[in-house]
Amino acid sequence: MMKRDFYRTSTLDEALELYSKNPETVRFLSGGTEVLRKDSGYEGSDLVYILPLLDRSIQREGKSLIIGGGAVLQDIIDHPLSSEALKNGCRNAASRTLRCMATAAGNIAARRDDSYLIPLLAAYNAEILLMGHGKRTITLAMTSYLQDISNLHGTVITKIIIPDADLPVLQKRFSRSSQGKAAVTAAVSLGNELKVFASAYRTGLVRLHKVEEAAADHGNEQQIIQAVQACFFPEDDISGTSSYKQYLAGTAVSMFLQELRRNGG
Amino acid sequence: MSVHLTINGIPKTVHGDMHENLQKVLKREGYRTVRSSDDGDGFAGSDTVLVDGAPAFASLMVLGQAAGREITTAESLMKGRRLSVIQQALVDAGVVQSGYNIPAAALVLEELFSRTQTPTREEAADALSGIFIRDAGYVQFFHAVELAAQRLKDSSYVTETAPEFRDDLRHVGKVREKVDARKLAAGMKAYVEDFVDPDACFMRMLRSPHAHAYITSIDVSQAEAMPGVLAVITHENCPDVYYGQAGQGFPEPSPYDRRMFNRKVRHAGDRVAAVVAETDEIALEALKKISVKYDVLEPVMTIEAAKAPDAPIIHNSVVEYAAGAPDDLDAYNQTADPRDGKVVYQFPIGADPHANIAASVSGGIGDIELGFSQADKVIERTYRSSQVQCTPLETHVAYTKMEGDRLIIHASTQVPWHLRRILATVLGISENKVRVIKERVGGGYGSKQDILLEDVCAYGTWITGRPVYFRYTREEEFIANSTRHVMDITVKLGSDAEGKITAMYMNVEASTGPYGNHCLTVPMNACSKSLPLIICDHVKFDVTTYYGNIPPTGAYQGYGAPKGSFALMTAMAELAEELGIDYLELIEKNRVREGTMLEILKCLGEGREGSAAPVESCGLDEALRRGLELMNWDEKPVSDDDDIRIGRGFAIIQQGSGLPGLDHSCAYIRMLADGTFMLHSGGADLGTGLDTVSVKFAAEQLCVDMDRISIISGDTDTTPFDTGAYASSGTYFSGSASMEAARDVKTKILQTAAKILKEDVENLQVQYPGVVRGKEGEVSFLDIARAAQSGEGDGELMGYASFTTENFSFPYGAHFCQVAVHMKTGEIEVQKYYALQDCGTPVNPDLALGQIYGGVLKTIGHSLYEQMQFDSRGVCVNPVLKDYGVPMIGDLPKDFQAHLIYTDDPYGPYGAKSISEVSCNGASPALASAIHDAAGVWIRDWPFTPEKILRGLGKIT
Repeated sequence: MMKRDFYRTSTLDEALELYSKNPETVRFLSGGTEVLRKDSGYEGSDLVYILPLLDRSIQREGKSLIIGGGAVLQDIIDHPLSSEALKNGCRNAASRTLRCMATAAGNIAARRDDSYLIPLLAAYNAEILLMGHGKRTITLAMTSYLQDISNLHGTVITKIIIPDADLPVLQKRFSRSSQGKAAVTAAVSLGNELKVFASAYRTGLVRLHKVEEAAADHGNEQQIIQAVQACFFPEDDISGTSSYKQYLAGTAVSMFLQELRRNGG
Repeated sequence: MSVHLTINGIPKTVHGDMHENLQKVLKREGYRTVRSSDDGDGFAGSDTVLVDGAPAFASLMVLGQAAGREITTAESLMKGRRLSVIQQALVDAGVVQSGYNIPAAALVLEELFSRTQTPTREEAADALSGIFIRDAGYVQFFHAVELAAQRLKDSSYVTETAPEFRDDLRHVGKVREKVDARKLAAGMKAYVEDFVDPDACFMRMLRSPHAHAYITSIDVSQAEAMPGVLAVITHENCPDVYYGQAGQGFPEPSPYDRRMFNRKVRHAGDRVAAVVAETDEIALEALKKISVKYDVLEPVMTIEAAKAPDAPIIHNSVVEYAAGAPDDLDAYNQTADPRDGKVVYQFPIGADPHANIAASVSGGIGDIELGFSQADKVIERTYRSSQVQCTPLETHVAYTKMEGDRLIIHASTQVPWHLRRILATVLGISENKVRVIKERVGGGYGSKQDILLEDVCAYGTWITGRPVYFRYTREEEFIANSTRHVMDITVKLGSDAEGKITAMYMNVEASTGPYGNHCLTVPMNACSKSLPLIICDHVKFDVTTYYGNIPPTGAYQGYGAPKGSFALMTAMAELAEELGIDYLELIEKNRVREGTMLEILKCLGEGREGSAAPVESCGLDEALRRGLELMNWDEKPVSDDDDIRIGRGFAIIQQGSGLPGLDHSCAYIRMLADGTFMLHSGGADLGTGLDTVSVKFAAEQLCVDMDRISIISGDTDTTPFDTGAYASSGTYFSGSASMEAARDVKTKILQTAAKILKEDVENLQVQYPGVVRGKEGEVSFLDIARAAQSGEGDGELMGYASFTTENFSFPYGAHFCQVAVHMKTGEIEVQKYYALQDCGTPVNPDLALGQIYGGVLKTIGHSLYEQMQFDSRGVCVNPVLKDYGVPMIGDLPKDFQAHLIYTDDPYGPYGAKSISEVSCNGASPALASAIHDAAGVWIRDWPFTPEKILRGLGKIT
């Protein structure tokens, strides 16, 4: 097996430069829970260890919550400024050991269909601050990042910005067992605008516009479920069938809407 | 490269590849507690360390990340020979069974206590959330945390960790430290992996990607040519010996239907070639150099497919019988395909391999048709239970080496003597040339009753002369392990209008998968450990086991009983609904009681003739009474959430205590020169506390403290024969052998004392603490031992026992549960689970409770979460713990209680019965009836998923 390199750089820009020179072989290593997981194929890559270079702080600026790119999920849970919804989202990673290793930024960058955080952060209208080589920085909506990720290789998430940490948001990850594979993760926020997101096997993050429309028309539970069926198309996998996931997403969204409205959202 | 870091407070420089997995680095550096059980999946937690004070999975780090960091391993916890407060609390709470993850658990709890000295239950659960424990459940970990918290305030703090029994006995029924707990908690050398020599070679297995295929060609030349490759073993050069992997007593009821490697592969993951190489890396690379061509056949993945008239034949083999061959055997063999090899039966088991039937048996009592004709109500239901994995933390592992002309195997096995017999047979050598040393077993649950890798590992050593280490990956543990058979069980019940059962029929159709491990006995056990619960004059059963191309099956804790209990008890609950009778009332009208003569056992011998047996002790009366009281059964709770319905269920269960007439255990005990003892037990303690049972029995007989007796067990050179740890035989058989051996040496002690005291033996008594008292005087064990070894005495005093019995000792239990079902999402929350278990005299009460918690949680997992799933080609698509769905601490029932129901069994040693397996039989039927009680839906196939509930409710079509 070919020997690969491991780099620790003094600055993030040096790390980004390394990547820019060898984008085919270099992988950024942060918390490691995705990159170093079994069968991830990391053995074939050069690793650039960036975690020590990333800000681990969590700060409140006005209504915004700013999470450093080096903050692990347990940091967010332990922080007094984190919202309950955000803490609960982090608790979707039910293993404390995993939460002490995995960064929120890494969870976004991994773009897993069963991400612990992505639907929740999307509902929060989260933005991310990226740094590219040459200290180039980009701020964009997390949803845009996920869509454009193929054009954003060679960048690192340095901050996650939740513009309104007080936004009423509900999210749930459905799985058979506490640490089992998620069938569906759904999230709803009810601010000035209703936003509904879901994620499941082979869907990636989906904003359920049709559901938002049905909800705006005060659709009942059945109408919400039908709206989900019209715009959310997960595939069968070990966690369940497509029809189950559609039903579950619709039911969850319907329950979330009721709760948010009941709470004055 | 060199990395500077701090390990356990000591600055270190570690040399290695910066990319190297940190778990492997730490293991190599001698930190053996940093183990691996999930191959770097970040789930099971055997690899837990603290990095700068926070828990981390070492397998999810590389060496480069550790530079400049402070790494803490569990080795840091013990100070000198003294366990830390938390380690000691874990020992005292009784959580140390197989112990594989106890050091990791101790470490994360140390981290918890560094954050708070008064952790809540939620904080404890959170701290332990990254630690997978399969054997002990998790409940007693909370006790350990409470104990540690108290002792950190007051080091002299003691509390009751379990109820105690039998005031007339000193050790039996009392909470005593498990004899190996300290060693396991401290992370000392214990498991096979700890005994691997530095010059060991590694074995890796090339496995079939196809579920059913002929190997048409195999080219190993490139692999063999690689520097560092010592041997490549395939079907072309392996021993031409047919055998079975089931570790059962000879003559086995399981067929010999495989060679070490076969020309036909019969499941995705079947053996194709094994490489022995100087390093693991070379072995893995060599696998890639082996070129195999297959003629792919249609896989048979279901029982229905195996039964189909035109089904592909899994074993179109030449059939032979050692005894009892049918007259038409030659004609039968006319259609055999030589590429399929042979199937050899020791005696007829109702097999027809050319029709994919691995075994079959029928039986009954009374007249079943008459019974149904007497019924006012007849129901017939089919229950399906899926293939579930044992998932021991320590995957299957073996280390073999030569010592002179003898083959030594360090094994993680439940059956040292069967292992020796099978290895000798496969290698074509005599048994005196083989030594099996059973090390501590990091979880077995039945799967280590089978010889899954020891044969090929030993052969690797035999042909190379080199020590060979072979350990399954977690994926191999899923695809190449043997576990309980898939079963479709149809139950037909007839009842009169008042609820008296008039007829009972059970039809078990099972899949044994590619080979016939336990193909007769596991499915039959579904009948034999469930039907005797219901007393009925007219009973019939049919059992048919089919071959298939699913991963292998075999033994699993509970054997066939969990599946039989699920079917029968759920059918009883369904019958109660149909009759409009309360389920409890129906059970009470028909259940077994103390004194019942079990006529049904006449036809339920396991591969031999059975006989009726009386129920000499039965704790069901008390178990049901206390369970109903605990559940406050007369008041059904109602949810205050309109979307949630509460339901309750229960089941009565039973098992056996070993196999009377089949099992056989031996032990001897030596009195050492200072009057202490060395007990040599053939029993194979696989973490259950059998060694502690044996020492307690001997100490009880000899009136000494337990620390006056040390034990060696499960070593074929230094301990006598024992059939092994399966069928819940440990306490009854191996324990009885130890007890009887102690009784035997006691006789010799008294004889020697009589000479010293010059008194008649009849006037002497052995008394605590190890003295012999007569009418005139007394003499200590020390003086007796010295006299015996003085040159004028009888030499080292030794007692021996060989224990067999024809008497049955049945453990019983009643399990109750309460679930909340979300009617919109189908989610199930287990709010309460109460397991009330009659194990006779609980010999180790704390460990018995842990066995119950572990057994129940396993079966909750089987019933609600766990599922092996396959693609259309028969390849398992979720061979990892997380995706398979093992329960973790977050899945514990909110209120989970185990209770020991005392009965005094006349046959079991000191009134003891088994505990390990029976606990697995209640969860499935109790949950099924509770779900129905809540949601009105009967779920008849495992697992009971939210999706199935929603389909049952008509929410999804």
